[in-house]
Amino acid sequence: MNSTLTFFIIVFLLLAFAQLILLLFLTSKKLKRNKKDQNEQNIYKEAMPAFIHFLYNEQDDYIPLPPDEHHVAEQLFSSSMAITKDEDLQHKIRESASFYLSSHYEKVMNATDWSARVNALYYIEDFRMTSLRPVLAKRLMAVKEQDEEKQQLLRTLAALGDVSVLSYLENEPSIKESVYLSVFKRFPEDVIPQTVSYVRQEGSLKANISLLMYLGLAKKLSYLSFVEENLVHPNSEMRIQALKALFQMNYISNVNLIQPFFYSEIWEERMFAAKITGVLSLSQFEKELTEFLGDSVWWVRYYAAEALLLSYGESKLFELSQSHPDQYARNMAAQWLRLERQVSVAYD
Amino acid sequence: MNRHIPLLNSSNTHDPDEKLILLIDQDIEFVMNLKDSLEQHGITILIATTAAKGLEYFHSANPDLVIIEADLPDQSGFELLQEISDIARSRVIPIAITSSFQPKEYRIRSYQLGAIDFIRKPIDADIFIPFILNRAAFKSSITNTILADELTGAYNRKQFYMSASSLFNRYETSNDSFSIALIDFDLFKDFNEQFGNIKGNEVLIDFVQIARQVMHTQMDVFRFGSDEFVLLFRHKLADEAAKITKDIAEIILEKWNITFSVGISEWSTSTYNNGTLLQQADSALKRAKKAGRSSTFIYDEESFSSPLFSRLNIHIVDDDEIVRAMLERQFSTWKSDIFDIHVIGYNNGFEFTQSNWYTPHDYHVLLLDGVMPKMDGLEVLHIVQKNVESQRVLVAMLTARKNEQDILHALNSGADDYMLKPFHPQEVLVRIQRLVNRLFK
Repeated sequence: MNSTLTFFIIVFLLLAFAQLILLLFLTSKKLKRNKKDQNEQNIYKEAMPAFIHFLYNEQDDYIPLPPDEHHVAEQLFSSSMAITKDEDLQHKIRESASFYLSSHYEKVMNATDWSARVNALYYIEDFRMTSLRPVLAKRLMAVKEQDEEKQQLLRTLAALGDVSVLSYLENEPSIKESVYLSVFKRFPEDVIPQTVSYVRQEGSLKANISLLMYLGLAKKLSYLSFVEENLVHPNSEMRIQALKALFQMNYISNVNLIQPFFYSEIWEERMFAAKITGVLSLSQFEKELTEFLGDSVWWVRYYAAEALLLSYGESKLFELSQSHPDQYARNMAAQWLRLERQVSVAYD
Repeated sequence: MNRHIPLLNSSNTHDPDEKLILLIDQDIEFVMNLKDSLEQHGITILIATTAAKGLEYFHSANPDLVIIEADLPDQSGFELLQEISDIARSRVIPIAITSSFQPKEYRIRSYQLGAIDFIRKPIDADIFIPFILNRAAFKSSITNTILADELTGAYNRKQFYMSASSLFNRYETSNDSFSIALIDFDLFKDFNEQFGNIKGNEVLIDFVQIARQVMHTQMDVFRFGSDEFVLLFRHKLADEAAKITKDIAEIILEKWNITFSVGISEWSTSTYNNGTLLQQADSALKRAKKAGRSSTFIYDEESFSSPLFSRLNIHIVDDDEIVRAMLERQFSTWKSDIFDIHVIGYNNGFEFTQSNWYTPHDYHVLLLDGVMPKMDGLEVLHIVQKNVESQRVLVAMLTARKNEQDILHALNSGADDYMLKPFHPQEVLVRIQRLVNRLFK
């Protein structure tokens, strides 16, 4: 009995002691951390006004920061980057970041700490540190898992203007269109011509569809010819994406290009033909739109009515709501008129 | 030798190439997009989200083009158009109506009421910007050929420069002199608010007639701005000019119960050598305004030898110290001929409201961050609006809050401008400078 009690007391004391040691360890770690944070805050506060002065001073080429204060530097560069749209200031901040942080990030990218690597990738993208392109390309080859690091590596390399990420994507069949899109969105303006010509000549269907999506979303009118040439692509998905891009661009070089889609068997094509006619207020397709008003698909009827209203006005739609041979067409026209009147009443 | 009078460099004037568009629309996405694109072309946009605010800016900021949305929250755009179209026509300010809906009746009504264009939304920025530049250029070209003000019949600024130039040439070789009086009505905005703009216009028309009768000339009355006039007194010294303006003031006070302040300067060879007769009259007018309503001051070199600056305080209220440091740095580059500029930073809204920031004789620009600890920018705006009723306070929000409701709320609560972060420090400065020039008289 006594020996059992002694045993438990010893175990209890050992546990208590271990906990005390742990507590002391954690407290000292926390204190150290606080001290470090405080120290960094002080350096930040001291360096910030000098840094702003440095940004505005053309002659100054010395970054007012003590060496190896990487965390403070990240904070300073990224917070000043976040608030300004001034390209000259941005350029100087990026230059400073490249000068001060490049070798540090190179070490981080080769280290084992996953979260530090991903974190660094975001900063490298923000600061456009092009000198690190070879380091990132090497890392991309080494990453096996489809994880956040890989995605961010692709985005960062795209932001740095590395067009070779496209051939990398083409060799990864599991990559989704959204990844292509995020890469296109990040490419600097000067590599877009090269990108379009690469995708046009060698790109997969996925790359082409994603590129059409991007050109439409970004309203890149200078690539209108690429979009329009895909209106006759044998693949319907490509044609639909091209139509969608034209609708988003709000432009078409030759109205006759959409004529065939009024007779398409694919309802999405008919719908986009109606949408484009409406948004551009084209007046050549009265007969086709009138027919569309009685289409078997609701969406086609809906956008045909809108296009008739935008191109020919309320009186035309009213006439069709009375005289169209198709019951559905008359209903759709009446529905749009009701909507239009509600809004007009709200206006008066 | 044909010399010309140096231009007046004061708060009452602005760079003639600098265009200001008044956009009266509550569709925040539309106005903010347009503001961005137009500012890249050096055009300043003044936003009003209600007809009432639009009307106020129309009278105070003298825009180069007005764009009115047909659907406004407090009044129809057409009613507003009707209200301002006569004055707009007299000042050659083009007005365009915009609407997402375009029944024929809307177009007819717009043109009948005096709009120069009816524009369908959605608006294509690629077309809209050349359109705006076109209309603004049209206004400039018309204004340049007109020598008389259509509302009052007085001659305009351009004619004044022509008359004054010929006087300079003539008086340079003689011992004769002449004087000018710069006149600005006191609290004219309040008068308009109380009795309506039509009554206000009648006062201006009558002022011109009375001045012409008293001065016995049709020639020498010039309208410079909405309620600003210049009288040119040939062969008269400053004292005589002061006497005549006093006579005019008495008649106006008796008839309309409104006063004006006067700054007078007299031509002399040294005046000419030193620069600007108008600037001197303007300095005298500023002193008159400071002395209280209905005052007249004559410029003399001795007492005016040090320039008379008004203090302009730029209050930057932002919890991000980098933002404060960057803006303080940027605003410290502002060198003004009219204002003595002081830049003051505050950590948050609470610190700002607790400070004694408001001094009634000074001008104030508030740059408010939207999100701050303790008290955010909108709360500060409400407190300022509640406690300070002054035309000398300009409030601009500078915030990352891009939400339409926030923007609408701020503008409806009385913010004069809404700028988004990230910002271009130089552009923020230029924008504030333009608004100060237009709104602080």
